[in-house]
Amino acid sequence: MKFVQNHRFYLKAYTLLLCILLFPFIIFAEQLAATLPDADKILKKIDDLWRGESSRSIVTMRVKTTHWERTLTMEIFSEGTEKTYVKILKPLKERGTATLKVGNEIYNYLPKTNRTIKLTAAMMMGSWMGSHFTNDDLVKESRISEDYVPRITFAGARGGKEVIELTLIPKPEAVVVWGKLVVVVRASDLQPVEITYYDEDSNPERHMTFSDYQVVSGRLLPLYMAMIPTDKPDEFTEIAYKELIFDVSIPKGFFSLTQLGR
Amino acid sequence: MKTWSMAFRNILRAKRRSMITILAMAVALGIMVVYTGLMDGMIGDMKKNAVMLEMGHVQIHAEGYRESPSIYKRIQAPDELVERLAKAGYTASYRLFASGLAARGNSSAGVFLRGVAPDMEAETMRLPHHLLAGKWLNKNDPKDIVLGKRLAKTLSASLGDEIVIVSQASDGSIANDLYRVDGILKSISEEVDRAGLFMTIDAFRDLMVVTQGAHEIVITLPEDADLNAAASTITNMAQGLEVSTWRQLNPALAQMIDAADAFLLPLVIITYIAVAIVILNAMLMAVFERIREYGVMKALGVNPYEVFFLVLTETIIMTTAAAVLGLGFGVPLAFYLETHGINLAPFTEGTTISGVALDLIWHSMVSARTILIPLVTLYVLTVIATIYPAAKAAYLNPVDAIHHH
Amino acid sequence: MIARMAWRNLWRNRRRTIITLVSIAFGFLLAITFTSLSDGSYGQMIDTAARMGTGHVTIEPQGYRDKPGPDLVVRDTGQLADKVRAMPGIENATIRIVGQAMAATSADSTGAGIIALDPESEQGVFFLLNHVVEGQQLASREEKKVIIGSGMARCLDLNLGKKLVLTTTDKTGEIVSGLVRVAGIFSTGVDEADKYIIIVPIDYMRKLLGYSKNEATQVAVYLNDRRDAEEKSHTLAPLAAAYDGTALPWSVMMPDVAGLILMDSIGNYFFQVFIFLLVGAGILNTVLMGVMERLREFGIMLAVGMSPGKLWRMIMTETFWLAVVGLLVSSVLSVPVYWYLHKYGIDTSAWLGNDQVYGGVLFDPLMKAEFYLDHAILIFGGVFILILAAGLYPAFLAARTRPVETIKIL
Repeated sequence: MKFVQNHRFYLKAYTLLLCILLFPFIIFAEQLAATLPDADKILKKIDDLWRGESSRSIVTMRVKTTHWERTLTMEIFSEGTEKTYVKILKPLKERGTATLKVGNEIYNYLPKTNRTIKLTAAMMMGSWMGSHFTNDDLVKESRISEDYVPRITFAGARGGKEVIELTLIPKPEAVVVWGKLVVVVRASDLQPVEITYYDEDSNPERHMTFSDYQVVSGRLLPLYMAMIPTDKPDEFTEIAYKELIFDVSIPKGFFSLTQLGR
Repeated sequence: MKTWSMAFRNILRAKRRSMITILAMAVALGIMVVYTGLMDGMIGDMKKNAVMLEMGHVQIHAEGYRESPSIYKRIQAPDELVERLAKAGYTASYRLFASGLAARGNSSAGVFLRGVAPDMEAETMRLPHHLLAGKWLNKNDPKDIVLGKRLAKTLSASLGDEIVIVSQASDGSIANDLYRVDGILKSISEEVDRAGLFMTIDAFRDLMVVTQGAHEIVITLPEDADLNAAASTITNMAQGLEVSTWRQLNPALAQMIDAADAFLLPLVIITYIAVAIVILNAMLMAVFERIREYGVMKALGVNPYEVFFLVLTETIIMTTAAAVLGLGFGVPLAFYLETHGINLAPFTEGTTISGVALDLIWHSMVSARTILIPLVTLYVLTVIATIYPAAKAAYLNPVDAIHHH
Repeated sequence: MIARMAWRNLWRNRRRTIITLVSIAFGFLLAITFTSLSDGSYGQMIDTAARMGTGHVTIEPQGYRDKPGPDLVVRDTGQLADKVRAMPGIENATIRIVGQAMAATSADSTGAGIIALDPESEQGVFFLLNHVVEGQQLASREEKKVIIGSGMARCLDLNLGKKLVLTTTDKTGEIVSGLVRVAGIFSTGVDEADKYIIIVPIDYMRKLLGYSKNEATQVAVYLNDRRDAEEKSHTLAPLAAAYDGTALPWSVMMPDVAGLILMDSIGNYFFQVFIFLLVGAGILNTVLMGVMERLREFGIMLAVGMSPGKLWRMIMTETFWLAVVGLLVSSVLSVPVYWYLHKYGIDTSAWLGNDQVYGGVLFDPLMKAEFYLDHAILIFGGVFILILAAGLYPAFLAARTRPVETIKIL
């Protein structure tokens, strides 16, 4: 009692000092909480990046493996999240080869033999058009927000840029092979920078990067992405959009098997 | 000489009795010969089937191919190597492999594409002659393919049907083309039946963009060649490549055949024991019937050794007569079974053991040992069988002997 | 009177008779040993294969053999299984769904054979469940847990608790996927199982494939006596048909095992024929000798007025007694032998190795004997007939002797 009475002044001084010192941090934290976007919101934004009512694009895909390197030019039509149609324009040898995805079903059309093959369960994990993307990726491309629970795990500067890092844990019911996904977006406009896919032991399996951000049909999005397998860092698949238009009108019945033959 | 002529006379005197003994032994020998031949034949057929159908005695691969197969791991200049092997007396053929997808109508199946040179393969392996329907590949018809038995069923494919094959070529492009089913194989092995699709080398090279090299060279050896010796010779010829024998390639099958072989040994021993009992039986009686005679001989002054050898000599003469008779009917029968065999019921068709198809006809295999082993055994057994009674005859008391009966 | 005389004649030359009895016993013992060991080991093979696979008799959808696929089902399997179990000779009936799927992890993907079952009723029945070496058994019919083989665990880099995505085609032909976790790992040493098979709870599989509550791919039926398989498959056929199924015996479902048994049986059969021929030759030899040395005696008997027919019968009766005593002695001797083989068996692992795999099934190197009455009767009958047959020629010779000639023989 006596101690406190004697040092009451000092106690008051200390408390005041503490408050003064802490004050900026408190303000800053509040601000941070106010300005940091909701993790779910970020995820939804990424999911919606390429989604429109419909889209048409011309894309070059370059695949490099240990034994060969190939560049394809493709035309892609998509409607909503369930319908995609891809047709190869170049090289000449494969011109006309097409892939039709409707919901969970994928069909490949091969012009040389004029045959359409429906992909079976066994082929789902196989690579799409020889790239590092699987057929399964094609089917699941737009479901990140449905399948994962996001959490912000880092916000700050990295490599000279302000970024936000989200760690995505698959929902218990989600049918995905990954243990977790780590998504890094630009703090300024929430544009994706990279996604790393991990197995259940937190080992990275593959790495996807994004760049070349441009405004198309009123929205900003990366027009270049690359997928690199972790165990073969010399290999990659890169996709670059040469042309991209959203909300184009696509005739009814376009996403059908009959269209595949044309 | 005295012993021999006396032995002969003794035998001829009791014609019927001797005949009976000789016959018993002859039958025993004949049976042994035929049996040994059939057993050897069964094992031999197993090996031949396994090896000659599809696997070959020896295979050559690029280094690391067996451990982790890849379309990129190829043997360079296979034609030249095959030629060199041929000069050394080995029949060889080379093959190209890839996995792909075959589809017909709404059915599709994962397949293992096999590019082969039709003529070379037909010379080296029995597979090209093992067709259920249709015919084998022809160099001039690259669009013709031959399917494994179950693959044809999965695709509901019959002769003349069109199949599309899709795969990823070695340059990354999508390989696809149409082919016509020209032949369907009988049961070969589990893998070939389920996923085997054969095409000509040219067709393969075209489809998969593999302009040179081969993935596998198979070699078959002449009938009596030593497997390991051939393997080392071939290894020397194939520098930098991996050479494997069929035993290394399919240890399960090798083990099964060895097990079958090992299992036969007790069977053979038992058979020979049965034979031994017959012979013992015959010899014992042959000698004991004449105990009185021997007693008389001894009383007349013939010494024990001479009696002993007399008995032994009689035995040997009778055994030789039995051998001639036994071989006389056993060996031709064994040869007949070598070419014609015993036709087993048709429900072994399609049966595989350790993944390799079974043959329907049980052939015997006649070699030196088919004759020698039973023959030597016969002599050994008869001599052993005779020792006891011969010794008894030699050492008995003449008075007791004469009073015997 | 002939009977007594024949009996006495048999023992006049004790040594010879004993040697002959030894031959008979040898042949008989051999036949019994081989037959019972083979019966035992085939039986065991079939049981193992049945437990590992699809029962002694399998009820599967019609047309499934020719074109297997998830679209073909047997309906109302619950009811069907109950009816089957109520039938005579049936030990058990379990319900399964089988099919193919792709199993994928982040590391890799591979083809797999799915066996979906009811964990509770298959404990102790289904072979693979007895070989779980890590983790636990499945607990319920609908949990999202599976048991995989050690080979697959290696290929896909899987451990207990890790996840696995199964992709397959459902009843309508649509591609479906499901997420499951590894509850246990089995190991048999057989690649075809360890690298390929995944055990899944049946109701979960039904949900994934869009099957109704009681649809399944097969009902595996286990019999009390495995040898009835063929017959039972015919008996069950009409019942199966009522539920869109057919009933097939194990020999059709597992032709490899059937083939192996067939090959082995044939080998055995020929072997025993050979032994019998040899024994027969030995017996013939003996009896013939016995007749030969008594030719004088026979001559006198015939001279004194005995009819050749009676003489013939006497020799045959001797042979008959030989057969009776022979079989008696053989049977007595074979009892301890059989008992030992039945209880302890022969351990063939010393020379055949411990991992005999035939048709994808692993077999126990311990061969135990089993007794089937009809086989035993066959052997008995066979030996009896063989001995009697061996007596025919000597008896014929005896009856044919001419008294004057034979009395002249010293």
